[in-house]
Amino acid sequence: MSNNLSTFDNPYATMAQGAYPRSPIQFPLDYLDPKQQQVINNNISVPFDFSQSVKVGKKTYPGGRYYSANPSATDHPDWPKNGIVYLQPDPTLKTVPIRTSITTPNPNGGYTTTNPITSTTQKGLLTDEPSGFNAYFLTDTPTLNKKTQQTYLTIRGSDGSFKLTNTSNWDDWLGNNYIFAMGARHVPQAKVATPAISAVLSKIRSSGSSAPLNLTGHSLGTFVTVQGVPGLKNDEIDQIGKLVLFNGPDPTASLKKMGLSDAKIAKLSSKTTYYINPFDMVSNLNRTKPIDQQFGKIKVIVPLHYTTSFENPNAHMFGVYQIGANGDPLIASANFHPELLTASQKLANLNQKAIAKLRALGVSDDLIASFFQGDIINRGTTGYVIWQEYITEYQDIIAETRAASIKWNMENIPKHVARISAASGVEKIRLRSELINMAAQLAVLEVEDQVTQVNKLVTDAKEELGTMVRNVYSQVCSIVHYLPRWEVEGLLADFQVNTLWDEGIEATTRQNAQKFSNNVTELSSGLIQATSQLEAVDQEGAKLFESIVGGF
Amino acid sequence: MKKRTKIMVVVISLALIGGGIMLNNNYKTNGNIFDFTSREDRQLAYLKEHEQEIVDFVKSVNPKVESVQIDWNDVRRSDGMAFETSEFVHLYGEFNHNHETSWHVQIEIKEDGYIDLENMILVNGLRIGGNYFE
Repeated sequence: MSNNLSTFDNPYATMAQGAYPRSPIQFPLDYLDPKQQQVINNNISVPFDFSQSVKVGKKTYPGGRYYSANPSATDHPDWPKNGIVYLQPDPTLKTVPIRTSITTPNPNGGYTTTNPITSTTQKGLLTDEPSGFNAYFLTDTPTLNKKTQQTYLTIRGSDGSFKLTNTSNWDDWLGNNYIFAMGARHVPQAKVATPAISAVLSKIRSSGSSAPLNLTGHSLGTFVTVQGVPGLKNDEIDQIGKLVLFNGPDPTASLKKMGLSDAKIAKLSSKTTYYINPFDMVSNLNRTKPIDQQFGKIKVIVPLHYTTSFENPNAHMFGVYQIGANGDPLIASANFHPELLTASQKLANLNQKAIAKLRALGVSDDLIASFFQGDIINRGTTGYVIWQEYITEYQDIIAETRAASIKWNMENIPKHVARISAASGVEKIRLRSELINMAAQLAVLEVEDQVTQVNKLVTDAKEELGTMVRNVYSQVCSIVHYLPRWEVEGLLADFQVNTLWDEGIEATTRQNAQKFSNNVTELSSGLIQATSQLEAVDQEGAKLFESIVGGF
Repeated sequence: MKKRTKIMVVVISLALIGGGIMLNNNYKTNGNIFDFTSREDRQLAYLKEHEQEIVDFVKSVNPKVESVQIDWNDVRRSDGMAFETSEFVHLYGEFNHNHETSWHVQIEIKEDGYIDLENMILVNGLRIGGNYFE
């Protein structure tokens, strides 16, 4: 599904992705269908079943499988039973008028000030349009009551790419992301998040439920979450279950700047897990320290594709996440794709180097001062050079890691086969699952290389043909002296690249190569999903064995 | 200023304004530089031309869906995630002429204006009264 999760086996990833109005399962109230909106406007929750399959074009993606049949679900007591959550209404959500003060001179002297409504904005407990804050409260029961065992709050990250021409998401990019990246500041959305989380916790308490509130978010949503929690009272922080965050930077410097003690940072850190993509520039911001010294438990994922945050499939999004046998994202370790841990560290160092260069250029968290500090043309040119260097080194890190991953897979597949034959029980299942992943990844990376090679061959052949046509033209023109130029051109009229080269065949060749690559990727995703069945199959086998043995 | 110069200034100004409007409209979607309708309107017209594909897609989700009604008056748009350059169009409607039913289809519009009908997504499943339609 390109940049979307291809399975819904992990509810936190599904909920974090679902905070955006562009996902197969999505919660934003503005984009619910009219019937769902009607229900929620009547203060009734709307169900979302992660075990339902999702239809995309001609394909059907199976729903999450970790809720009813798979015994791994028992390892995750914080997951919603059967994969069903209920989006709770926000009765405080209102459209608020925005008034602008206009002062006009009176004909008889003096001035008159009026405050007409010039636009409107959405405000509520979990929505604050001016700062760009959006969050969704989900529970494992239709109504919040004593029987509610799990509750979740998913906080949305940035909407879309930053565009100078589109002011609608400047609040996310300039108002929050920029000041966090350049100044480790307490962002406006986090200041809105604190009372929102507090109100949700109060609702849970007053319902009689003792359920913890688990928080999740992606990108900007990660540091809004982490900065939003410390402002709560201690007993409220105790009510928080887990913080499961995706593709976000380390927030430690900002928490220290907010005045948090080391003890409080450690307390929050113990509740937090980050899944980060080693090739995502946002994930690896402020992460130059060793992983075990960073905020939260850091899990570096094994991405399906090795791309930057500016390509498609995109390293910042969920489409490259692979969900492993236990329903959690597949992660790298010292024993499994250690080159990805190195890549993450390299990108973190590159990020820090680029930020240091920008600071030396006078760029700070004060956007206006950064922009209007003299010699803008010279500084702009230097800034562009810094950017170009950054992108080149960024792509080099990915290319090096790609080669290292292929090598690691080739070296370790035979070793894994040997380990499997010597292992038993859970260890055997884990090794089998890893082996399938290694084979699948190797297939994807090799086919990607082959597609690149096919495209290069086609491009080279076209260029060679162009050169040949130009050479023939100049040779003919230099040889033929007894015919006028227009006659020579008439004779060579059909000797053109566009008549000798079939653009249709070129397009079909490129499309077929890409289709083949996509098919292999789909097959690999399918194989990785199939690993989820290993544990269940193994347990079924054990039961069968016991029943046979018991019969004797 | 001479009359000829004045005419030239007016003609050049009109050409610049016209050019600006054309660029603003991004005529890539239908390739007609003399089409002054907005990009959004042209995208909507394109989707209406492909109404049958959308109907067939919703029908393909569940064999119980016999007919699909699209509410062309309720078309919404959203941005993607951070770093994502695509936009998304959201279409809504009912099926089997039952006012209690609902569906939501999301279609990606790539940065270059390409409308990806091949990968349209049924968002949040088929619904009846806000609940899942089985």
